[in-house]
Amino acid sequence: MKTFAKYLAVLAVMAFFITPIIWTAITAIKPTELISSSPVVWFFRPTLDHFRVIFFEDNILGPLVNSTIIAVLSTLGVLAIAAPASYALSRFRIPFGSQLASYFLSARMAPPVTVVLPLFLIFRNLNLIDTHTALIAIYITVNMPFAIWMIKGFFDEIPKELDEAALLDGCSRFHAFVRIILPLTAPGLAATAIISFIFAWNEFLFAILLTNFHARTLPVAASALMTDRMVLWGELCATALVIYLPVVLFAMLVRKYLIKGFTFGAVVQ
Amino acid sequence: MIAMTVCPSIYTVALSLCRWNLTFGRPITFIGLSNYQAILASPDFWASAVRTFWYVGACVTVEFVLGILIAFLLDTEFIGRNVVRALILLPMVMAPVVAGLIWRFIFNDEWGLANDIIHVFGIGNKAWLVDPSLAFFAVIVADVWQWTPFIVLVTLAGLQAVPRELTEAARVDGASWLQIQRFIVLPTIRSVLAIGLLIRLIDAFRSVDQIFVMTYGGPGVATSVLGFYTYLKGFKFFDMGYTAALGLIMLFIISVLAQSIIRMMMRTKES
Repeated sequence: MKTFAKYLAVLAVMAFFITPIIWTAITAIKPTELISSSPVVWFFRPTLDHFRVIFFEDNILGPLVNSTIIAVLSTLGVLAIAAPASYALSRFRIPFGSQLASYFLSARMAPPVTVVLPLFLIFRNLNLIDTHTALIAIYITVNMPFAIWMIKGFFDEIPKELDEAALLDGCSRFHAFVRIILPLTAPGLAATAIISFIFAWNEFLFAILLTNFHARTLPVAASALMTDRMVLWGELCATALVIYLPVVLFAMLVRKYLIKGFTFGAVVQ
Repeated sequence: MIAMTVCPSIYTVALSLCRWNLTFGRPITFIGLSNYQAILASPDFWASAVRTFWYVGACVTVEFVLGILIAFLLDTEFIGRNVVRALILLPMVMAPVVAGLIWRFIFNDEWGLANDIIHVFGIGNKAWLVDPSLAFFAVIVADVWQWTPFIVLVTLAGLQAVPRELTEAARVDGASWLQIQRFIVLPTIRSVLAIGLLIRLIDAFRSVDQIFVMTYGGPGVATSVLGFYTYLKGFKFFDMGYTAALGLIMLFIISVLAQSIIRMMMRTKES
């Protein structure tokens, strides 16, 4: 009886959290005329029409390419800066190093609306509105604190004696870092990269305010399918899946590290 | 890093002391603290602040109660446990905009899933996103859906640190389930929960994306929480100085909140 109640509870939990996702997937392959029927139709002949429309008529390829370029380049930028920075924080005594945590936290607290306002004005003066560069620069900045904190955690786990032995053997600091420390922390670095990619890929507010056509990203394109008069639900759900599927794949890959990433490395799973 | 965070901060502070509306093309004029005075005297601001208080309070409370209960449930042994624990993270990696759009669809008053579900209980169609209080409820449900899994995973991570020998020994000595939770489990996971609370409070307070696509602050101003209110002031009305001041007031509120949680954490650590 008790086990039965338990399975029922698990089922209820799953129903709440998974149904919206399944419903989206079903709507994405449902013929348009059945989408707006009530009660909801669950059985029908699936169609790929909505995907055809978003890829060949609405041209979602542009935003898809933009999102990919921006997320990938910003992630590489984050890694290129965060890895050496966290190595320094982990190995050397840096002035104000211990205060960095609270500085990072305060950066996280700022409402994005506050940050985006001056950035909007600055980028406007630099003629960088609606460019990849603007969003890449912002995402690098936004993701840097969590990345530094997370990577520092991985470096801290590697004994200092290892670098010191390498130095004694005539290795330079740089070589010790590149040849020994980086390969040892490769899984952690990869996880950090993937989480940073997810954050950049999903971001909306900066993207909608700083792009309009040329550098429009996927979340902005999705919101644009919602016009004042009507919402193209079939196309919207198909777009939602295009945005969501890569993230699901990545999230499953870094499942072990996900909570660490979402809590600035404060909670280890 | 510093260029991208410190410069905008200084810029924002300076802006908040000026009158500058982009739509009128008038030159920037220094007006001291007038923006702050205007905000604090504005009934719209206070209405939005109160709304934000209820929104954040409701979201975070429900997420915590649900999240901790679910975590306890998923911590027990059952078939398919690993699959369930993997699937539960799905909502939280979805782009908040996409989640907002999907929930807008579910709460559609003509053919959304929400109405189908309440039909089962014999309740007729509800105009979810048209009725102000239902819309407020709807945006909370969307946030709860997306972020309860975060609390679940944080709690599960904390539960791993609970010493099993200790709980076993307590059980053998005749401690009840509730006593074990109260005296062994809770003290162990308290600091992890505090971090979860801190992050959720900050993010719920700043959230814009979901409301932006679900209701656009409406109907009327029913779901216009401070994050969205600030956005409107800045990018619909282009009142730059006013928006900068609003943002700084928000930042101040969050900092006070966060500081008090951090201090609470420190105190429990010491005791």
